[in-house]
Amino acid sequence: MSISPTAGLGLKPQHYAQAEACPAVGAQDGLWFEVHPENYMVAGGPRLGWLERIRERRPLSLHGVGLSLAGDERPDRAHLARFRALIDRFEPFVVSEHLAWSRRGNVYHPDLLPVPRSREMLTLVCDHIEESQEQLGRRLLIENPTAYLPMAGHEWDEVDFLVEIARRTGCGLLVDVNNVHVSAANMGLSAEAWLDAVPGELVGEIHLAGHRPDPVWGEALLIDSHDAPVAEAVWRLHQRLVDRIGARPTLVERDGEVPEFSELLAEQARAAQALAAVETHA
Amino acid sequence: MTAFHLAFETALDGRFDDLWPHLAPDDRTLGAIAVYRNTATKGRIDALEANYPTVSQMVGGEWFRAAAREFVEEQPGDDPVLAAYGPGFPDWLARFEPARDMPYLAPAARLDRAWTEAHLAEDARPLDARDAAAVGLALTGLPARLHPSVRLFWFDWTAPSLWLAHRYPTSDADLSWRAEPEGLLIHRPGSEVRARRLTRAEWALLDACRKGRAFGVAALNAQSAQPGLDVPALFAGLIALGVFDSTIITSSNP
Repeated sequence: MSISPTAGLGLKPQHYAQAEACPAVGAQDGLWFEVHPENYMVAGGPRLGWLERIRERRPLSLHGVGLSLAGDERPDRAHLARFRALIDRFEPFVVSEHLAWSRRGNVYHPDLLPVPRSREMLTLVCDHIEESQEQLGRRLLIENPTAYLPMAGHEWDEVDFLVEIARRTGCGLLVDVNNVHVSAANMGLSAEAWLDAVPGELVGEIHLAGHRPDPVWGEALLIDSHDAPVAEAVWRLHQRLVDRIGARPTLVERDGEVPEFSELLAEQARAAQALAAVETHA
Repeated sequence: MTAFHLAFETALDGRFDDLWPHLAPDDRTLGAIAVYRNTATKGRIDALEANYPTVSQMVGGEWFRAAAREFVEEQPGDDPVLAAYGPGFPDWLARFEPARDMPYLAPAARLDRAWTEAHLAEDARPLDARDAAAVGLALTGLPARLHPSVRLFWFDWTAPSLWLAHRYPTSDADLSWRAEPEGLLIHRPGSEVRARRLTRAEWALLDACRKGRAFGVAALNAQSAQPGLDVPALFAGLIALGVFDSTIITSSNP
């Protein structure tokens, strides 16, 4: 695989054939794909075959949603083992997870749940990341969450907390610029200040996605819905970040109201353009 | 276990008191908690609807999602692999009071589940005619093994026809619900899941194979289900469908 990843797309099953056929020219020169490993933790069948064919042509990233790193239980061993099997089989160029939790006892919550940035949580999260990195045999990139809920127990700013986690565990960061924008809006903070503070050398990947105002609260509560094009404000923040830290593999995500592949490619091209502009003047 | 996680999980169930001390609440806080509750519930309902498309088609999306809301509360699931979510839905539906006047619904859910299982089952090369010819008569003494994707059903009602008419629609599809025995085979010999009605003789043969009986014994079962049957032809037809596992050959001829 000689392709050097620039702008990528979250891969949806309805676009498998087009993704496979997409030629590596122009803005799609550095096109790569990201999937949730949980969608491929199956015994067999066509899904794995499709992913194999995509992987033959393109760099792949595995972006987990089920490790529950910020949970109060150790990462599930069986889950780590099947995650590891996918890493060994598909050789992703990057593996990432979230600063969030989703599992307690016998219940899996299909969501990314929050924690206060407290000393207690710092220890928990770092233990879980260390154990996961060891079992997966890979350094993880950890994604900043979307904040909806003002919490009493924060002892760190979000960037400081993430940097401390990276310092203790050796993990890197996946900066989701849409999450930064939505969290800043919901918490009354500055997205620009967040992005200006994050150390560039820790950032291994960037995410871009769309959001929506809450149906009840409107603009006072933004939802990280992934069902709309990337907002102009988020494009501007992306440019601001890469202007400062340099180009990083940047992913456009769309999980709901998924449009034609060509529409997603247009957003991917825009992200590729932003990265190319940085590289020429860096 | 931390107090925060416990309190948060309790809040997801709709009881907020314990979570309050962990928050710096403002007027949007209940709305923010609702975002988490809605996301988790919607994720489960979406997954259930994706895994039971025929049931949803039969009752309509609105009815399905209202019923699903009750199901996901009872069986929220323990696995992040949502493609396999909701194995308990067919049995739950069979007990679900509002579905009582739709006796075809739980069977349809059972067949949707079998479709999912076939779709996600491990890959294996089906036994083909050449394999069978190479083994020859010795095959009758070998214990049968079905392809790992194979799911078999025999109903006293026309559940298979009704399900097929929705999942694999054709212009002459039969949409009536009658007390008439029907069998169904759901399997994935290659990359596509297939479904097909079974005759009583095919069912008798495959049911014996499922139990690991020797091929010869399975053939006798088919013979007694339908006296005068051309068993070799039936067997050849089933081989052509790709329902047997080729590993019986490799494990008998190392």
